[in-house]
Amino acid sequence: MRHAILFFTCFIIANQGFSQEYSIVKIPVDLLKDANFIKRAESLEINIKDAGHATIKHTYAYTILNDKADPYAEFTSYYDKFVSIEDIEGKLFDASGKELKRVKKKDISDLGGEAGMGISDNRTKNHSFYHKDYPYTVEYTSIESLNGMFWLPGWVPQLSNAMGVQQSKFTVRTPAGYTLRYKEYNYSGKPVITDNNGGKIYEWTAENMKPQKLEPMMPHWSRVRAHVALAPNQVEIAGFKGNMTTWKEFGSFLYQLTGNRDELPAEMAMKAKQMTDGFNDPYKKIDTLYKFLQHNTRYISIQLGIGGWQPIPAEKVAKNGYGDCKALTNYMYALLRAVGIGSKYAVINSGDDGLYTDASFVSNQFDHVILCVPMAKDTVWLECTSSILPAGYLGDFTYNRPALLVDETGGTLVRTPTYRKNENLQVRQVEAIIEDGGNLKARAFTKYTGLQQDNLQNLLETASREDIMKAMRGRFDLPTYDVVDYQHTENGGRIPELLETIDLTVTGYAQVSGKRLFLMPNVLTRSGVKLVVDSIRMFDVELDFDYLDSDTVTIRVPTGYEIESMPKPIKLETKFGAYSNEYAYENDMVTYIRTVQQKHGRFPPSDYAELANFYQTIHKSDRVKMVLRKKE
Amino acid sequence: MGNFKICNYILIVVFLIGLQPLLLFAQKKNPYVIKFGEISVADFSTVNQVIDSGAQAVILFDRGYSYFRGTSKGWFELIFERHQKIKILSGNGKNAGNFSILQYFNADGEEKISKLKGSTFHLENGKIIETKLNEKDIYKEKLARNISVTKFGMPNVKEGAIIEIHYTVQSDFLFNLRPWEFQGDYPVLESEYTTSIPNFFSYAVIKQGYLPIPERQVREFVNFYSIRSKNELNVTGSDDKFNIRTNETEIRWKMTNVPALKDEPFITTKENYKSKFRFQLSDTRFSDGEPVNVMSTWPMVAEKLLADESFGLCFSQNNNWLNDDIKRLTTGQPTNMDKAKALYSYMRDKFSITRNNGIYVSNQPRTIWKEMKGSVVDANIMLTLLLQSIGLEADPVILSTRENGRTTENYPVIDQYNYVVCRAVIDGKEYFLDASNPLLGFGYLPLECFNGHAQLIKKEPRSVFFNADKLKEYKETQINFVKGNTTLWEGEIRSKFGYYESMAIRKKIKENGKDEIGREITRALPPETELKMVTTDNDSVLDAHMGLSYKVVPNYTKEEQIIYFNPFSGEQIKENPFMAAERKYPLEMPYMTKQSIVSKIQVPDGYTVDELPKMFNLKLDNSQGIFEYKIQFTEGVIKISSILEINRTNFSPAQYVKLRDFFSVVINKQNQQIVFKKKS
Repeated sequence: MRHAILFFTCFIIANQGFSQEYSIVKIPVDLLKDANFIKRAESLEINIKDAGHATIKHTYAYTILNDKADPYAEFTSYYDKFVSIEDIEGKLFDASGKELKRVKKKDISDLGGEAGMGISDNRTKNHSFYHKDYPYTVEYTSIESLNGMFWLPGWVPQLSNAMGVQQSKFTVRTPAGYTLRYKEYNYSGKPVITDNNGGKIYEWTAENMKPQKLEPMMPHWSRVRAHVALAPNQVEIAGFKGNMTTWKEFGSFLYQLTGNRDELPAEMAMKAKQMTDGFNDPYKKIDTLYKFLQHNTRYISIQLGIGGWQPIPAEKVAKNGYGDCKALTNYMYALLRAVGIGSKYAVINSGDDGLYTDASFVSNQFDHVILCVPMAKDTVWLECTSSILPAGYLGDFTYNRPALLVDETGGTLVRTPTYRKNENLQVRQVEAIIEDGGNLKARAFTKYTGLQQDNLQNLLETASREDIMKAMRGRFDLPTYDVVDYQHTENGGRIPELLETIDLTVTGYAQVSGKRLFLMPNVLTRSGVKLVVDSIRMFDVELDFDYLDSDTVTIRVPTGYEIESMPKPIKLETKFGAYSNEYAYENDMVTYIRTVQQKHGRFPPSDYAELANFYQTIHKSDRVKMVLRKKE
Repeated sequence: MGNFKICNYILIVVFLIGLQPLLLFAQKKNPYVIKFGEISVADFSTVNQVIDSGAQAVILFDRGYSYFRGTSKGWFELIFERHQKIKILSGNGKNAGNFSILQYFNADGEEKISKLKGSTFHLENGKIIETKLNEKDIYKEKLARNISVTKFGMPNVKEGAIIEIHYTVQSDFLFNLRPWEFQGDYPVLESEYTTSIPNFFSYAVIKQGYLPIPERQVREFVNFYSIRSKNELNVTGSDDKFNIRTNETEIRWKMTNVPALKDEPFITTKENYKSKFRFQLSDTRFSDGEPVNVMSTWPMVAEKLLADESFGLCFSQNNNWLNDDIKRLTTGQPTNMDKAKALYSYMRDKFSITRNNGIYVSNQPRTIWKEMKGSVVDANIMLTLLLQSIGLEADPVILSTRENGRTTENYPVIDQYNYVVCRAVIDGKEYFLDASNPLLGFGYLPLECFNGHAQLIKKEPRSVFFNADKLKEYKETQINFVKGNTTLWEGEIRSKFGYYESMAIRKKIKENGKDEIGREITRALPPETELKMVTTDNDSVLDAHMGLSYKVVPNYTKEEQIIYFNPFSGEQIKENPFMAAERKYPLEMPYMTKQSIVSKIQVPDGYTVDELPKMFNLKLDNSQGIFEYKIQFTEGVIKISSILEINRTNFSPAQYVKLRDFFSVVINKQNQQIVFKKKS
């Protein structure tokens, strides 16, 4: 009995000692500025047992300062055939650090499935205390085990710019004979490495990281925050074993998973030959088979077990006509092989994030697969999940980044093509008439190429005529207008070209008063970017791609007017690009010529004011009105 | 749960009167059945002129058949057969070959899919090639607590292919006969639904849609059902078996050439315009016995809901456990109104919405109170309970949000309702309250609730109406441009907002910070004008209307020879809200509006007014829209006022065009400029 009481007392004391750590008074004041939540403490531990097995213990505590950080108060963890969640514990504390609630794994809800067509065995454990008395603190501990791995989780101490970090620690334990590779980004420290029974312990720490305000045109947060990435040298999943020290070896490992699944049904191989026999030009053959793929298959995501990494055999895709990126790429590979064209399965990181794929760090940074067809002089890239792209054009989803080509000889890292200023064009010619009441009738011819045609081409190829017209009627920044007719042609090609003709009427485009007519000569191409310089710039400026816009506008106005106010022409040349415009008025005809070009690049924070001024000038100048006055 | 009670009752009735120990088997066949896989070469070439040219796929036919079958569990089950044939018209229509069938399940059972078969047909060199759906390519996933989904992608789908599928769903949940949508994302050449219902079940049919109602064909016939049931008293252990003879009514509805359902802006939901039937079990009757009403009048529904443990039962339970907390929360609040407001704010500020709506609570009140999380219903039922506990008259009101579609006032269809609010009477005055929205003031409902009919659930239930055309939002703006020290003018702009506009601004501030308001003003200002200072009033007093004021400086120096001046400085409307030139469905706006702008501009020293806009008035049909544009120029001050009122919320497609034209005139007028000239 005495022992019990003693024990009880000890427990209480221990508990108080522990929870006082989460009292909000212990948060350094400078971490609170611009913060929505504070990471009070974190320990992320990875214990690697061997090439295929590891456990991860993650404990973290967040003090949630306001409701904007509520999503971070929620615990979410994914699991599937290769990741299992062994245990979860959650605790809730009030502002003083007093524990209010506790939750165990068995009380945590299990979510999965998708209402859409995707088929997957991924599920999640999800929990929240749904507390609303701010500030409050949540602490979660989870233990996961990995069974099969060819990637390792990394460490990101400052998840969000609105997060202050008091303390965070990352520990990796490796067994004897295991080589761990790592790379630090935006992190100046070095790990403390100690020996441990023949193996090693690596430890990274971070302290007192202040929240940051996001700024317009800065690089994505994921590119400026501190990050330590890991990669194993030996890899193993579902019985497949390999090495990841070089891209070549990683490619060999992927080939084990993905290769030799390219057998086509005999009649399909025959059909592929029949379709292409008439052509000598290999590009024609590729184009024909790619169109065949686009017409006969559709994308359905199927990720079940090792199927998350391994393509469905080509034979099955040939029969069913659907699959995910792996399955469709592998199928296209098989079709090309059937007509004697060699190609390569290319793993890649898609979207904006993929632009930052690190070629110097061999690791699994990839989430997508495309096909690379090397030709005598150049290379044709095929996005096999798209039913609308022209053969050889990638668009902004996978352009300009490293891709790992995989074949029986291993892996080779190459870059996908990028598109330059003269390939990303918007060339527009507007012919318009102002009627007596101020209404405008116009016909606009526009040529778009490369990245500038991506979104429009996607709309034109996927929407019905009715939806296209609806989109056109909401596309322009005009008071009240109607698109009377819309026609377009696509010229396809390696740098696709799209031509459109729009006929539109704008009600009350010009303001007609007793004596005057107010008219904005720039009818359709006005810049929407208006940057504000309101504080000291912290981050670099990043402009994502090169482009060139040019406009020629002629507007016939009612007779009997003379010019009263003619806007001044502008010619501006900066390191970010150039802008110019000029105006003329002659024989009741207004002429306006405008060009803008942007250069991609990353610029230091000190350049921001100049950039803001550049865009400000464009924004203002695009909206300048010309004033005409009735002749006396 | 309700099913079992009825089940026992009916079985007894069947015992007494309906017993016919004959070896008769129910002979049932859908007389309108079409054989699976009957495709002709001609099917591939048919082009229907009715289908719009943009359609990516067309449903050649869609047939549903719902009927009953006796079970071995002593009751009936519902069988639903679906047969569809779809033609893929373009490459983008390939996704019409993807299918997801939702199945409900709970502790009592689950809806089972059986006899699922599918084929894709192509025409190749004049021959029809069939590719069958492989059973291995059918996947089943658990989606939510009571829903699982069966998914499959049809094989070999491409432009020109015809897809055919057939499946059967077997369900123990008799309460909801499968609804039927005659209209969907793709046009349908022929949509047909047949229900065959024994006369001892009666279902109410709730019809909706913007197209002419479907053709109806009725057939009456005699049918036989065989039911088995375990009999614990029977020593041999064999099942009891009953054969029931009944009159049955078969109704077949058919629509042809149904266009795809399209979305438009300014409608509550396109679902309201979809041609669709729903069914609800209304009563059961056996032989010449009294009909057993399941749910058909509001008093009956109210009685049932009030006795339901997931709805009203909590009001009649002993809720003494709440007393201490209520005392704590209302201490120092002298009046009933003060107490009600304290309880309301507590619920609104502390409760987290974590679940979807519905009209049933997800937990016992005690748990809801402890966890302070759940659905909108949980929040508002709890609020109702709190208000009752301090002695106020408070009751729940069930409604359907605008997005959820309209309700049928005259006939209670419970699954039309998806939201619950609270009605309280305080000092003789009626208030409607919703504690689920953290930005909502006392006595206000969210705009989503203004969807017409709602039902107050109490012993004597009654309809209440939340009509959008009873709401009027406004924005009143006063602009003052006075002579500046170094520049020609300095301006001040002050606005007052209607309640929902105030709420929208609060939401913006909450999500993007106060700076966002300044950024938005900057974007609207004329290029030469600079924003100086922004202040807001009442941004945290949720019950009150907001105010906003800011200062601007138009950057004109005293050297300008001629000035084109916009009197409304960015407060004017710049784009027509009604973009589309024509309209299919009526326009439904969330409220009526009034915008008034009064601008006073001092003529700067050394300048004359060269040109002023002209006075102008415009009315839209019977003052449904009013626009008055006035101008005065006295003693060196120009006063321009613009008043714009829209006095109704619903406009027919024909009126839409007029409304759009009305706005285009308003916009042009509001964007006119004043011309000042420097005196020479």
